[in-house]
Parts: sequence; structure tokens; C-alpha cells
Amino acid sequence: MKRKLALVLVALLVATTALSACGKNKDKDSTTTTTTKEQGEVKDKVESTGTLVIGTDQFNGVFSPFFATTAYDVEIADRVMGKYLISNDRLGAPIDGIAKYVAPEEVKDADGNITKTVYTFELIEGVKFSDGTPITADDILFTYKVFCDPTYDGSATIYTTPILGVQAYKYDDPNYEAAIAAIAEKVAAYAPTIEEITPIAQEWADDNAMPIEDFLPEGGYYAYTLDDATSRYKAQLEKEYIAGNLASGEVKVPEIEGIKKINDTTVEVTIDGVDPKAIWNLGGIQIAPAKYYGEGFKKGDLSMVKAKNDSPMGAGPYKFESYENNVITLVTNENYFLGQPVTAKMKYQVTATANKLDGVVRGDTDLSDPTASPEMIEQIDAAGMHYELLDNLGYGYIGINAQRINDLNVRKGLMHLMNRAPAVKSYYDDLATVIERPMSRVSWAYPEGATEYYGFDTAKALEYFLAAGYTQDGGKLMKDGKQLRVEVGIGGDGNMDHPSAPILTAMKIELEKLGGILDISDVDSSILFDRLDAGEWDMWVAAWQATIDPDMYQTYYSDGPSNHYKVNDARLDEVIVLARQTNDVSVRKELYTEALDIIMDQAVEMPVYQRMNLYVFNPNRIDIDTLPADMTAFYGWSMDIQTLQAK
Amino acid sequence: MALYALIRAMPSNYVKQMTSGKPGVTDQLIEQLEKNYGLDSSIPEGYVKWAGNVIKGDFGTSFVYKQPVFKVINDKMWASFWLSFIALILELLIAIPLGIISATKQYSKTDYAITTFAFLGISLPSFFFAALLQKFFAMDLRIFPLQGMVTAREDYEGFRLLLDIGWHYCLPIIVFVVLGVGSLMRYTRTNMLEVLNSDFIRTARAKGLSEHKVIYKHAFRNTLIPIVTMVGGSLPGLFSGAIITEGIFAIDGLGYTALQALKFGDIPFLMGFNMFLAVLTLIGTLISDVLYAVVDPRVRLS
Repeated sequence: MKRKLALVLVALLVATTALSACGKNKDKDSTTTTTTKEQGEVKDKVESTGTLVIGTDQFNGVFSPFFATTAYDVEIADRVMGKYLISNDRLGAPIDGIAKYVAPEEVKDADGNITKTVYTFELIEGVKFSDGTPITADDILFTYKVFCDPTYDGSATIYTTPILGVQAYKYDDPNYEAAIAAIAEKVAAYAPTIEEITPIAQEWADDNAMPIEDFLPEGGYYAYTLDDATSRYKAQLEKEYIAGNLASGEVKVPEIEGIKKINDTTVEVTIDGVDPKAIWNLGGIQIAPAKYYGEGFKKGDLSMVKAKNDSPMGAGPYKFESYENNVITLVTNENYFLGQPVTAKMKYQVTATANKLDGVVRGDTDLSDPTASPEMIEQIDAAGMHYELLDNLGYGYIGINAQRINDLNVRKGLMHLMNRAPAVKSYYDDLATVIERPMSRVSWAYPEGATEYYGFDTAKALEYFLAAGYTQDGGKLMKDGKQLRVEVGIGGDGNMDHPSAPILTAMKIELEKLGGILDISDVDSSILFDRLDAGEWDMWVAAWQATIDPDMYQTYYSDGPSNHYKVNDARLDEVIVLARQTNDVSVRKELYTEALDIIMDQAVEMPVYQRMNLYVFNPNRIDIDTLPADMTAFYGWSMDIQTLQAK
Repeated sequence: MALYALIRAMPSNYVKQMTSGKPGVTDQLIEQLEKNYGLDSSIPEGYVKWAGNVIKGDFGTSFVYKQPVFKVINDKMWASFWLSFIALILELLIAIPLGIISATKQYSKTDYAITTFAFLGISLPSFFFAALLQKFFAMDLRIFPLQGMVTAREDYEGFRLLLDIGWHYCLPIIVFVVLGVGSLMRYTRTNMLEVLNSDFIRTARAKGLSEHKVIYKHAFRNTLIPIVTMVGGSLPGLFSGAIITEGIFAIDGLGYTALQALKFGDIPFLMGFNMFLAVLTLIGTLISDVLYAVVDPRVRLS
């Protein structure tokens, strides 16, 4: 009944709008025919025409600049919210976004150490939201506050940047520093009792299949137990502190100390020390209109921001119109600061992955991103479609846990058993390349010309196993009465469908020939990551998303939270920290080259492949010449969307 | 309660899914997020909290879709419903006559042909059959759209929109009908055979009634009872959607939505969704109980 009523209402609405829009439509039609040819010269004055349909994956319907999580939701948010505060060029270097890019200002103390870094964001003149109101410094402040709110539960990590006072804001405690210092003191003075230490020692003993005595105070490995006990104690204290603080309900820290409004169009952000990737954390945000998202905004309550999740509004080239029947409709924003886009409508049609190419060939959609495979390219060529291959921002690797396989020689031996080239070739053909250092090749820090570190060589592998103290005993690699046995986890959908799978199957055979055992566990990806977080894989197969900055602290620093490799190397730690302490790209590049070599030498990660993403365009529908020239992973088809022309 | 424990016990959780593979994530951040999503409590604790909110009428906000659970369900269920509902009507219209024919002409060529067709339908995997239809009708003949719910390029409205949606629903409905008609047909056939062999049919025939009257008046009414049970039981299925078919045809229904939620450990949505299905099952049983009275005068009160 409701449906019918709705239909009637819609019909009425249509009737009225059709009447009122009649004259307008005619104008539009006539311009279509006359303006298509001379687009290039008179971009700003051309009226927008035509519709482009993009075949895309399923949406979750969360198009908020704060909370969009899946890549496809983010894409919609991008269209509507527009350029970041700071944008990037084709190689991933910062340039003007909606604010001017100026190099950060470093504040040094008497000894020349950088104590603070100041970022200034001055909005470009005349930038407006799609409702016509100008963007102001207040909108920027509001955006930061949402990201740093104590109850913020989206996936952005802005508040991990050392902005002055951000922790105090996050935990709503003006004495945050003192509280943390008090915890640190308590932790330093921590002397666990034997009752506290025994269960932890037991866990270590079980994990390593060693007697518990080794991990008790008199044992040789007590340092590990103590370390673990201390960090657990610290986590416990912190948890109690955080819980206690947020419970009170009244706002004690209303502003973030390091974020200041200079004038109506300028904001200054000060961070502690140096953090070269801060420019992306601070500048890589889209400004949300405070008036629209934050009516009556109060710290600690983001419900009004979340209420706008399904209807984003911002300064982007397109305005959000509707999400119905699995189609998203966007219409041009006449206030877009780079000029009103020439294509009047963008529609996103949800398309099953298997149908993405067929959709474009049929003319249902005009561009899409099917899974890159050699067969796909053949089909595209056969159908006369246009395609672009862009490096994926990320890479695939095989990791080894240095704590579980704590003998470097064993790790090196395993490395020599990985035959990567045939596996990558068979899965991707020319659509991926083998990489030699654990970093996405799109990053400026990837050392060009890096050569293979561990070639596929069973003789060398055996040499390393023998050097580790293993003996070939009756065809078995034995040490201390135990056979060499390694378990590897891979997320291959249960049928080993993974580019790295052939590496493992070949490795299993080779290791067996030498007398070792490789247990391959093909598990669901959620189990893979669960066990990875718990440090329960000897070896695992996964991929890293690349960030625009190559910082390695999280992944390779000995205490880094995502250091699944458990790599612990003093020089590596030093290099990583040094590279975080300068904004000088050439210095950092050298440091990262060294760091990558150390990681390779530690034999904790075998880089496998850099793959490409495929985009297919229907040249009968899209003017291919209006796509950006020389697209890169950082500079995709949508970067100059305002000039993209539908035929 | 058992359901809640099972969902909570799934490996990984939403926060870990959201953060895995991202290098910029710290433990502190994960802890904070888990707290914000209420994943830091123990299972009994979490259940009591959830149940308490439900009593107050609050089913919580979906992690994945970031909206109140019942708003998500309400938004998505109609696409699933209309699809399944039309398919069900067609199934009934096809299956019941076919079932009767094949029962009355048991072991004849017609019976074998119908049975073969039914089994073919039952055994076809939906993804395979859907891909076949797409290849044949959408890519080669181009008489039906490949997938989707509307023609994205056009801005149809009103009646034209309805037609467009109907046109897009054709292939998925064919998939549903061909795959579903078999079991319903077999069901009708078996029940019909049973009834045809009973004493009152013999009596009816002995009275000299025409064969047509015997079958459609006396026998058919009696086979209706189990069919009504089956149709009543399919009520939750009408709303819950079909994961695979919805995925292939890009239909914005509940099946695909629930699959996504399951993948990401969206606890509020899954709990709400299961509650919804439980209520529908109860309503379905109630409806079939009421319908019994319609088709079978013996169960009417007084």
C-alpha cells in the first residue's frame, strides 16, 4: 500500500518537474551537438551534458568522508567531497589540493634538533561547497575534531599523528602526559611475582615446545617472559586509565592544542618533532561542511555526523543525488573550483565482478575495473574496448616469523626454496612483476635496480640448513631429535587459488626432498589474519597495502604494532627512526634502501609480486582523449574528472 | 543466546577486518575501536547488553552499514521480497498443474518428461544456470539486460521505472522458478498420488462422478493442505533473499547484505536479521494454520 502511495507521489512529482523543466531540457539538447568538438578551449563555459555509467562493486551505503570503508564507498565519497586538502602528483609527491602546499616549517632547538613541525594550510581562493557556501578554516577545524573524537570509530588513523595535544583531546584529560608518565613509572618499577610470571612462562614454553624452566627467573630465556609480562601489565594499566577517563561524561579538553585557526582561510597544525608522513595524515583529508555535518556538534557524540552517512555533501566535482536500486546517481556541481565538470551525470551501476567486462561491451556501463588477467585482456582486445593497466598500490609477500623460526640460517634456507618467477608468470602473465625488495614498486623509496637476494637454489638451501645444525639423517633433516617442520598459512579460498600458491607447492616438494616438512594450511582470510595477529604462523602469505609515505615503523620496528615478522635488529630500528626524523626525500631514500637490505638479510620477508589493476573503457561512449595522460597508481582516471567527456 | 555466542565466537571481528593489511594501525587504536564497537566485553556481558537494548526496542546500529539494523533490513528486503514473491506465484502456477498431471498420468511419458525437467531444475547450480541465461539472453540475443535492477543510463520514473525494473527482474525470476519449481512439483505429485489412492476417491469414482470432478474437486482440495504448509513455511525465505542469485544479477537485496555482514562480523545486523527471520517463521506458521481452516473445513472451530 505504501509502495503504491509512493508511486503515485513519484508520478505527481515527475509530472510537475517535467513541466517546469521542459524549456531547460531543450537548451541542453541543442548544446550537445554544437559543443562536443571544441571542448578543449572553452572548458569553463561549456554546459555539462551526457551521462557516464561506471560498473562497480556492491556498496555498503556509507559515503561519509569520515566513515566510508570499502574502496567503492570511498570512491563515491571522493567524487562528492572532492580533492584533499593537499593533493599529489603522478609520483606521489604533495601538490596543491584545495589548500596551497607549502613545505612544513621545522622548529629547531639550540642543538639543531627539530622539536616541532608546523604545517600551514591556506585554502585556495574561492573554494566552495556544492551548496555555494565558501569553505572556511572552521570547516577544517571541524573535520579534524571529528577524526580525533574519542568516539570516532572509522578507519582513518589521523590521531596517530603526534599533533600537539591530540592525545589529551582523545582521552579528554588535560593531564594526559602526567597520567601516562605515571603509568610508565609504575611499569618501570614492575616486579612480577612468581605467581604472575608462571602462566606466562607456561605459554612461552608451550609455544616453543620447550621446558617451562627455561622461561622462569633462573632460565636462559627469562628475558622474553619478563618482557611479555611487563607489556601486558602496561596494557592493563592503560586500559584502566582510558576506561576511567571517558566514563565521566563532561568535556574537559574542548580543543586540540596543536590545531589553530590563523584567519578565515588558514589553519596551522603543529606536531611534536618530525613525522614525514604527517603531511598525508593531516593534508590527506577532505573537508566536510561543518554546517551540514555538524549541526550542534558536541565532543563525544558523532551521531549527527553519522546521520549523514548516506547523503554526503562537500566540495567535489559531483553532487550526490540518490542511491536506489543499486544505482548511484551523481550530478555536476556548478560550484566546483576547477570548473563545472563537462559530463552532466555520473552513475554507478553495481555489477558482479564476472560481468564487469560484459557490461561495458554491451554498453550498459562505460567503464569498469574487471579483475586483471591475461584472458581478460584478450577479451577486451577482441571487443575493441580501451584499457589501462595501473600498478596496484601494494604488493604480495611471504612472511616468516623470526621468533618461531629463530635460526637465521633456517630462514635463509627457506628463502632459497622459493621459486617466484614461474608462479607469478603463470598466474598473472605480464600483469604482475616479481619484486626484489619488500615495498610496492610505485613508492619513490623502492630502490630501482635492486637485484635478487635469494635465488631459487636447493643446494644453497641445504647448505644453510646444515649450517643451522641440522643433519640429514636417513633422508630427514634432524636437529635435537626433531625433524625440520614448518607450517605456512595461505588464504586461497580452500582451493589454493592464490598467486603465491605454486611457490608453496613447489617448496613443499623441494623441502621434502631435502628431508623437511612444509605443512600448507589453506584457510579463510579471517582465520589467516587472526592467527597472524596472535603470532601463530611460522610462515604466511599475505599482501600489504602501500601508503603514500614509505614509513616502516609499524611493520618492521622491533616494537612496531604490525611487526608480524618479529624482526628485531638494532641497526634496522635505528635506520627506521632516522628516516622518520627528516623531511629530506633523498636522505630518506638512502635510509630505506639500507633498511630494505637489512630486512632481506634477516630473511623474514620474501617480496613476491607487484600486480596491476585493470580499467576498461568503452571508446564509443567516452572520449578517450579526455582521460588524464600518463596515469599512475597515484593518478588514476578520475583525477581530472572535470574534463572527462561522455560521447 | 546460543546464536549470539556463535556469532561472537567467529574468528576475527569487525575491527580486525577493518584494520588488517593497513600498516598505519596501532594496538592502542585497535583497543579503542573495539571499545567503541562494544567488542571488548565478554560474551555473556555482551549478550545481556544486547538483550537489554532489544527490550527497549533498540536493535543497535549495523557495523558495516552504519545505520539502525531495521532500517537496513527494511531498505533491502523489498527487492528480495518482490523477486521471490513473483517467483513463488509463478512456481505455484506451474508446479501444481504439472504435479497433478504427472500424478494422474503416473508412469506415462508425460510424467517422465515432467519429472526429468523437475530434477534438472533441482540439480542445476544457480550460478551456473544464471551465467548460461546471461550468456544466451543478454550477450547473444540481447533481449534481456545482463544484470542490475534498472537501466542506469536512463532516468526513468513512475510507470516506466516499474516496467524497467520488471524487465531487469526477468532473468533472476527465471532462475528462481526453474530451480524452485521442481521440488514443489514433486511435492504436489507425491501428495496427489497418496490422495488418489485413498478410499474416498474410490467412493467418488464409484458414485460415477466425472474424472475431472474427482481430481479437481475431491483430490486436489486434499493435496492443498501440505502445499499450504510448505507455502507458509516459505515466508521467511521470501524476505531473506538469495545470496548467489542476488550477487550475480547485482540485486540490492537482503541475501547479499547478510553475506557481507557475516563476512565482516557485523554482530548487531546478524542478530537483528536472525530475529527478523525467527519472527517471520512464526508468522508463516500462523498464516498456514489460518489457511488450513480455509482449505480444510474439518479444522475450523465450531
